[in-house]
Amino acid sequence: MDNKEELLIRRAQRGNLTAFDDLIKQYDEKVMRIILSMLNNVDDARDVYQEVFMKVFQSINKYQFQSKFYTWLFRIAVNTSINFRKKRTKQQGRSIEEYLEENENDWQIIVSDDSENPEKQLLNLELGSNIQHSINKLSPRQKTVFVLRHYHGYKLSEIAEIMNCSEGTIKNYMFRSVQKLKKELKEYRQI
Amino acid sequence: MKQCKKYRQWIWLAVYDELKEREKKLLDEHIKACADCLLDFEEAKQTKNLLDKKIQLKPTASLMEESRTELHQRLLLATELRYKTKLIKKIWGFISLDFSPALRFSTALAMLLIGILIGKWMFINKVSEKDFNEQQFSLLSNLNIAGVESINYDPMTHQVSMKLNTMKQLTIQGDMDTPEIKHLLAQTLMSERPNIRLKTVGALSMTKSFDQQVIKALIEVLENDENPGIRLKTIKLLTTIPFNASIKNLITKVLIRVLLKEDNSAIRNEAIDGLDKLKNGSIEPIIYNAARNDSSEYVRSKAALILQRTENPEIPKH
Repeated sequence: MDNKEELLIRRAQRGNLTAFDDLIKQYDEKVMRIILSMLNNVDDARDVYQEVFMKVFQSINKYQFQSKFYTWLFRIAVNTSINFRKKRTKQQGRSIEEYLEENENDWQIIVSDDSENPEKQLLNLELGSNIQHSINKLSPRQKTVFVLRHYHGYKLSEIAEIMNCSEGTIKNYMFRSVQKLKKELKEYRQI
Repeated sequence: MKQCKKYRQWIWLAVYDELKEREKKLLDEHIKACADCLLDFEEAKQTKNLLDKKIQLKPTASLMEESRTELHQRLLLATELRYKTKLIKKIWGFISLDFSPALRFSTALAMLLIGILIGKWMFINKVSEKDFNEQQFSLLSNLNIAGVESINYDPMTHQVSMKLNTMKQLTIQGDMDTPEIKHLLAQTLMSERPNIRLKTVGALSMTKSFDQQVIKALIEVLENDENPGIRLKTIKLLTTIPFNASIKNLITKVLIRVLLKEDNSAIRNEAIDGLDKLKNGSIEPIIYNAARNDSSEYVRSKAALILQRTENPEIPKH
């Protein structure tokens, strides 16, 4: 953690709203993306974003500088998303797939493969939808580990810190989730 | 094999580049000797590539800005509440001290007096809803609207809320049937952002009456908006609004133009339905033209059905 960040955290802990704004600006886009991949719902992602940062503001005094700030912040984001999903018995709002069929400008498509253009990516909508369906079948913890590793590129050691677990446990979650996904997506593989 | 069980997990760790160098070497050696694990490794790599096909979204800068502004407002309220709670705790701490009964009584009396004074002050300063509306609409007369940031409508309360970009951002809220709100909605229909235009059409579908300015703006959207989804929603709205004779004539003309010029068959289909519903003057030649020449088979058959029904009204609509 650099000195500037530490200073911002200490000022935010004393109730300085400007410092808090500056602090979260460094991470809030990543948080929004993590929430979206956990919930797969663009409208819920915006609501949970608000809930996460309200919680962060209310509990920032509990942050003791014992872990990296972003792992503490992402832990709150992940737990809030998991709890939000548990509370929701029925899907409300628009899924990513529904959102893509509309023509709005709030979200950009990330092209994972440079050789493919966004239009071609849209053609993969059905496959993407099946992948999402398979990911949704994972347990909340398996899903969290998989999404953070595969789609957000965090190392398993960082995920262990975020989820407050041992690295061995995280490796097990990862293994179980990819094995399940491999089975679910069997028909799309070439072998 | 017992060893294979360990390597099955390592295969996935290797695919995600989570193995140590020594482990990688051991895995390589095992894969060379074990056909089952080699196949498993190939399948793992393919599955990983497949999982990359899932579309990922990234919030735009404007969405982030909007979310931050909303959060900032909430935090301000939370800070204010926290301050008030602290103040109440302090006051409570003060009055809970072990004072003599006379001092307690005088403190309570003083608190009561302060409460009355605060209440009176708040009552005097309370702005009526009418004054509030007048204040916010009078602000508008001095501002140039540069764009529309967001629009939300609540069918339960019949209120619409618009965030406009002016020299200073302003949130306007009011009943959807208020002329000033309608005037603003006519402007938000011309927003550069498609979701704002779409939500505005949605909000207008909740209003009870339409003035000329709103109808003209809706026609402009129907004929010129680049987004077919918005045009479709607009035509559905225009064909269902309550109208008098002059509006009926105007909408008929517009629907004929749409039928002749629109590229999207779903919108032409709505135009045919609208013309059939309005039954304004002699539209048979237009319907006849659509029945013969429209590029969409569905529109052609619908137009033909309308013509048949004109000759024999007993034919059902669908």
